Amino acid sequence: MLEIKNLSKTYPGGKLAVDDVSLTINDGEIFGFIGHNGAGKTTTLKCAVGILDFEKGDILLDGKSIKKQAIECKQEIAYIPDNPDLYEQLTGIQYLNFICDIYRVSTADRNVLISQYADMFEIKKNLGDLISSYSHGMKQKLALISALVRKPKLFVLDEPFVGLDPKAAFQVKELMKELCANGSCVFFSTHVLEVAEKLCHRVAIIQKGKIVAYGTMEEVKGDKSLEDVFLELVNNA
Amino acid sequence: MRNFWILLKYNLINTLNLNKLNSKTKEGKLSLLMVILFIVGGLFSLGLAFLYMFMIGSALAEGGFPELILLVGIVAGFMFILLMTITKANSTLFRSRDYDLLMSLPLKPSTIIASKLVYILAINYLLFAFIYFPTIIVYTVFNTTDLWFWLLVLPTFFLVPLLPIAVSSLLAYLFGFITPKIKYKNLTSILFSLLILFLIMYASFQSSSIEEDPSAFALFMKNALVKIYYPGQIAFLGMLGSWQDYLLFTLISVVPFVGFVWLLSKNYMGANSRGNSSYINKNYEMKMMQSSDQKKAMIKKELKRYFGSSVYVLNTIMGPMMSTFLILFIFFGEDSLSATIPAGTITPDIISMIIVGIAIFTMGMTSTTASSISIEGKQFWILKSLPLSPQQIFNGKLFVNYLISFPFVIINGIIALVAFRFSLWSALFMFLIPGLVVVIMSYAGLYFNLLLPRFDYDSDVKAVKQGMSVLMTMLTGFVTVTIVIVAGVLGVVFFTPIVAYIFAFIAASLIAIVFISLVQTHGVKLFNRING
Repeated sequence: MLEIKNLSKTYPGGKLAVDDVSLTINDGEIFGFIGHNGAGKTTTLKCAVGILDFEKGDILLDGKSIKKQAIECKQEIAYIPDNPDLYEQLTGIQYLNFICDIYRVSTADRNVLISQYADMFEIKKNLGDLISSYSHGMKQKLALISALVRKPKLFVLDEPFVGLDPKAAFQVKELMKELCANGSCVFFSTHVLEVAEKLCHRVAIIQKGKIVAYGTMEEVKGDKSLEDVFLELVNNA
Repeated sequence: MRNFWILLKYNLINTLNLNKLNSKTKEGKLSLLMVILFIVGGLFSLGLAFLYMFMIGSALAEGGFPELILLVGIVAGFMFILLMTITKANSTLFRSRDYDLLMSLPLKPSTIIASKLVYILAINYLLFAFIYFPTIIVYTVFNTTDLWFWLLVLPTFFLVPLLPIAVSSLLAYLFGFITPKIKYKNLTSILFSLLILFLIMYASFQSSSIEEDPSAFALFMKNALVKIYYPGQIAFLGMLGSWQDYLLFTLISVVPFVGFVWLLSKNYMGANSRGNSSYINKNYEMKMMQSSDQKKAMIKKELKRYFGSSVYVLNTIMGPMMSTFLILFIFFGEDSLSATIPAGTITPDIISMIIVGIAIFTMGMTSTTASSISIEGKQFWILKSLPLSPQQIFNGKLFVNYLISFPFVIINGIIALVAFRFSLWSALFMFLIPGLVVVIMSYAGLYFNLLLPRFDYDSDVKAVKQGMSVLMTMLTGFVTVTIVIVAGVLGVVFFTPIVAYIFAFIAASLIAIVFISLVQTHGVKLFNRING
């Protein structure tokens, strides 16, 4: 379970990007994080995975603080940014092997899982090429494989469907459901409200760094569409 | 023409980070400090260039060929620009990240090429000025000049860089035809560049007999310079009064440059698609993977990154390699110290001190760690999200500098021990003191890069060569070497050679402790603070 408690983050220039955000994401749950550009989604996600330091509040994964027990927490987290800049001087397979070494994935597991996911995302024949030769979608797929092979407890994705072909996007959605069925939880940001509406158990809407709506899909949207609720909140802010 | 100036203006604002100079933030103040440091460094380099040219000019005047200094300056400028442009032309012309953006705009390819080439020219004119104008001053000191000479001073300055830029850009263009077919294109590029650099160093060290026979030296210089760069000879003759030679020099400079611009404007799209394409393995089959522990995985990743960037390798491996090259040359070359100075004049202790001095001077020039954080660029998020402590990440980065430096420390020590009979203490310190300087440079480079990281670059050149952390590390190396040498000199003047070594060792150890502590305390905090 991921708990974000009263998180506030100010950038060095003085911009308050996240203001007193509190959220809980339970095991087995797909949690959607919605907001327009610059609302504070990516900052919150980066704080949750230990990429960004923050001044106020705390973030706990199964009771462990990302601030105080960063390494233990990171061992259980897989993060995929919106624009996966990977090590371009490595081949796809070298990158996956590097990630498996760092996360201590056994030799047997990595061989089976990489082969399985590379087949699923149809990039097996490209794994021997340098990442610099990959398209945006291929990099996204490679980043997804690198996240899946480590069997994370928390899966954090920033705009995961951008750049993916329809088949891969469908597979990602199915994988998210499968991960949750196995007890992991998924925390992802998106602009695609239809996807959030269909996929998420619960959602939060962030506006200017503050949470303006939070709860199950039914609680947030009532009898309206998520799009209507979102636009109403954004326009009235 | 209007579009050309617009492109050039925004290219310069973007590349030189001019907007930061107006900023009142901490970053803006740092940029201003960097400009001041660059100006100080520039004046220092100009002074050094003048001194060097004056020494060569004196030797040539003594040999009866004072006018040859002009040829030396022109040929040195040609070689310098050729080497600088070989790596830069590729990233600026054929692999620039703004290619898609520029080609999507309603601009002619020739306008885009012209703006890029003028940018390359501007940078090269700036660098060439450091060689050319000291040359002109030294020339006027040893020779009488006429109006014809002064009329041609500025045109020559503008003409000389054209040919080397055209040649190196053409080489980069032709290299683009084979790179998609080469699996190890960076390694090929590194080896090719190292070969050229060592040939130049070898050729330049052949001129060591200045004091023995000045006239022979002058003749050798003339022959060698003409062989290296024939157009230099006709520019030289032209400036001394032959208008036919000057006309020929003008044609030899301008025609290839214009020809290259014409060729590139016809093939700009093709050249860029080749520049951005990589070797593709058509028959890849997944094999069983081997696992490593975290430490080895980080080291492998760091080494891949290091050898994946030719500019990174060339900029950092030269110091350690040069240490061995210099030691071999000074002690074992044809005009070596042992051959020119009678046996018994120099004691083994002095020889060992000279070797240690050369080793620490070259090892203290640079460090891979000075840009090891910046080189992560947009991939820095990966490091921050890994379940590793900052210290584990630092160790991988420090290891790269150890790996490229320690083998040379050991080789230098072994060469010296085999060739000369040193005492046990001298032998021990010959490894320890240069080794400590490597440790200092590794930690200092890492600390300054954590303090002053630079991620907003579009080419590795900017992270490796133009970062403020690199400049600070170089200055630290310079100060460290000075302190160690001064400690050693005090020891040898007032006590014995062994005490000199102990003083130097204590000085180096204290500096090493300062930087190790800084990295392990403040460095960790800085790492956590960097926004990935």
